[in-house]
Amino acid sequence: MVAAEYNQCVDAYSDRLYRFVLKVGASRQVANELVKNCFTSLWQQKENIGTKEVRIFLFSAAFHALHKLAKTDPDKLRPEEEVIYASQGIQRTLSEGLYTLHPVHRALLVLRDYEGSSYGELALISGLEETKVKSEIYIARKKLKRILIQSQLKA
Amino acid sequence: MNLDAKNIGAYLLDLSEGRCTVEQRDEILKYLRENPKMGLSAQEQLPSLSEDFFPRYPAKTGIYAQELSRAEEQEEDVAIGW
Repeated sequence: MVAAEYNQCVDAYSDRLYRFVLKVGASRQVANELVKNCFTSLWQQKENIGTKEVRIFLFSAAFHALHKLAKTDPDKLRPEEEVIYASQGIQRTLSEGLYTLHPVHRALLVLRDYEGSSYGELALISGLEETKVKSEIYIARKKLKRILIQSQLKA
Repeated sequence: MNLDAKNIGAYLLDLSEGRCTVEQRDEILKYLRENPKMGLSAQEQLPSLSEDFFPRYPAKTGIYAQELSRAEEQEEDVAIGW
């Protein structure tokens, strides 16, 4: 990948990667740094990565950085209010519910529902087997459904 | 298909998203009938998130090739003591 192609990847993916990291729960400061680190890593390895592999590379780097953060410094994975309350109605309840889930579940759901990633891509990004990815997404959606029902019962 | 408690969720997801053959669907339904205590359903509607948030990465100018290349050159200069 040459510099011009790399710059096209910055234009294509930086906002989406930033959204993914924020939506999983990183603060703006952490998200800024993490996205920069992912692109710096892409730049350093640009000779070994084709343009078709870039999306998986970037989201995989961010996924694993977030996973590491969840283990070592979970306080840094508290979402900003504007990220939680960006939507209304049922989607707002789901958005609030998202942050009761394990960060891996959050990340898989955001990648699937926001980014439209296939299960095969999710397996590549997360390093999990495809069946495991599907099982985890099923569990996460069941939990969200339970939260939705509980909130409707309270209302 | 070897259905068990660990992978049934994956197959239910396949079923709900239309990726199962008739034979696979029958096998899943049979498994659910034989394991009623799991409380799972083949017709369950599960929620999904919809896109509601479109932030822009505020430090984009700092990650273009020109900037990263300049940063690399500066690091090299420091390393060789210029």
